[in-house]
Amino acid sequence: MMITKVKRLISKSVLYFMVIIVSLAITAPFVIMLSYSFRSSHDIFSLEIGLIPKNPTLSAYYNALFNYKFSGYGFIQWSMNSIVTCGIATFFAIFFAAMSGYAISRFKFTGKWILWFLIAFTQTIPWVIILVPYYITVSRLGLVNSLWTLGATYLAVFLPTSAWLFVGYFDTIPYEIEEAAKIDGCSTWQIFLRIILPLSITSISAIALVAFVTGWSDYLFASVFLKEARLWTLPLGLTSFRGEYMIQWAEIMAMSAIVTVPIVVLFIYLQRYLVDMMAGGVKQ
Amino acid sequence: MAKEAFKRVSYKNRDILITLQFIIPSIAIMSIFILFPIIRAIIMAFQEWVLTMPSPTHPFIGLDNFREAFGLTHFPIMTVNTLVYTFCNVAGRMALGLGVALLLNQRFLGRSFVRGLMLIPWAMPTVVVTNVFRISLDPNYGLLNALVSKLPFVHGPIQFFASGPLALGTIICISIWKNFPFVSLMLLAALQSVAKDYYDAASIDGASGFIQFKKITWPLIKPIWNILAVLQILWTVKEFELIYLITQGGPNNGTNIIGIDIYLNAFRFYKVGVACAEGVLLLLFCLLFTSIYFKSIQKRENL
Repeated sequence: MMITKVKRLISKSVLYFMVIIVSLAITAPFVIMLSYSFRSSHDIFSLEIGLIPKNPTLSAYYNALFNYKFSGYGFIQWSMNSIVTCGIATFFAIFFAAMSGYAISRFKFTGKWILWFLIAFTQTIPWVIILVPYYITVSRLGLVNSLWTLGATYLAVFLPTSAWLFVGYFDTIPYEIEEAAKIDGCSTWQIFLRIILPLSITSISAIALVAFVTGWSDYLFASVFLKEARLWTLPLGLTSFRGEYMIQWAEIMAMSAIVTVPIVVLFIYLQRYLVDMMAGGVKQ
Repeated sequence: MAKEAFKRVSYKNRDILITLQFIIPSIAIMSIFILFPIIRAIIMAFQEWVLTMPSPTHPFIGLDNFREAFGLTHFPIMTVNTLVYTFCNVAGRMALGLGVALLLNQRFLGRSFVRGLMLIPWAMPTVVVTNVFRISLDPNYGLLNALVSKLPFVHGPIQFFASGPLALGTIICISIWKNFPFVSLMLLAALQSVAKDYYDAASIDGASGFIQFKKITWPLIKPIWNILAVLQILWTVKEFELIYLITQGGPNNGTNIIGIDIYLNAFRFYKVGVACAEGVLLLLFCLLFTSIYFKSIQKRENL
């Protein structure tokens, strides 16, 4: 009796010890980022201060928002660029992806496998291969250095993954609802717009979040297409210190925190839908 | 009779019309932005494409681009780096992913909280991750570097990104940190669909934890584990941002992998043809694993 109790106690403590180690390892970089962001630019290089800053200050946040400039443009301009470009691209990508995902899940038509193959294939191809010929075409047309080009590119980048996730999701919705609506005389478009989409609002937001974050954190496409600081998106702003002699790390970390925290909060808020969605996508 | 037939045909036509309305935007976008550029890249790999030379015709030059790519002095080290990076990275992600998934499948206080924490590395933008590690691993004022220096057998601060192998190893660790939670969460979703009855029955028969894992858990989650591994290989071999933003492929090509080399050849050295040739090589590698992936996923029934 005693021995089993001791055994259980030991296995429990081992379990909790491992959980703590894993949690620390997972959160460490995030915590370090916050730690640096609450320092003054004077304290940033001091190792004695440790993880929890002795004189925590919000000055880095203030500077990051209003004073940190590159060629005259700063955080506010870059975040506007990011939000508008990724937002518009996400909206259209989600709408088109939901349409084709619905078609693959529900309709019968010849050549469906081509569309499905195209979507699944796109999950696996390296974007950098596409980027080279795409960039040459875009520069011939004189469309480099434009947020419209970047937005259109993001639309194409978000679309296949979103459609892939939508197919997995729509497969889990029972047919009965649509059959009932059909008997009531609804057209296919009415069923899709009035019943299926409103029903799926949480799943749509999870898929939209994945798409939006893809653009929100993209450096590859933005670095190729945006040459002027006026047009930069946040990832470019966050790397603007490259090649500079004095790096304003406190400001960079504060900016990083502002960019990261909302995404982390949204991910945790939607975690159940996100995980189910991705698990459904991977399985199919 | 004739009227009925007409009705049926027109119904069918209307169905086709509605289907087209649903799929045409996606097909158009994917063809213009994805399919067409891929085909163009394959063609360009066999053409003369050097942006610094004014040559408007771009004649076909056979396999010269491939020869030039293979002849690059850093081609061997880049190939080795790519394979080492992909293999170690995916092995680490899959092993750690499975271990942590099994850990989080246990019952303990605050389990859902820890599961929420797992989303942090996934949600953090790569740009932010690279910035955080660049400052925290800095030999002079990095918090993580100071911590590592205190470990036994470590003498003073470490120059993590000064030598090729150490830089590659460090970046592999960062990449594992960023990506293993995704694997864990996917495996955890699979683990939680395993019926409790199996374990109850096994416990009554006196099977130990390890035997239970080997005989029940592993066979049930193995298919998902395999699919995830193939997907991770495909997503890792093309890595660009994480490496580029820390070392740009340096020092001395020590962290140069194929994704970086394509980017550098095309956008820094303007050797577009060579970049496309390397792209075709990467594409062939990916196609190999894509076909494995397509074989391992469930066949959609209603295609």
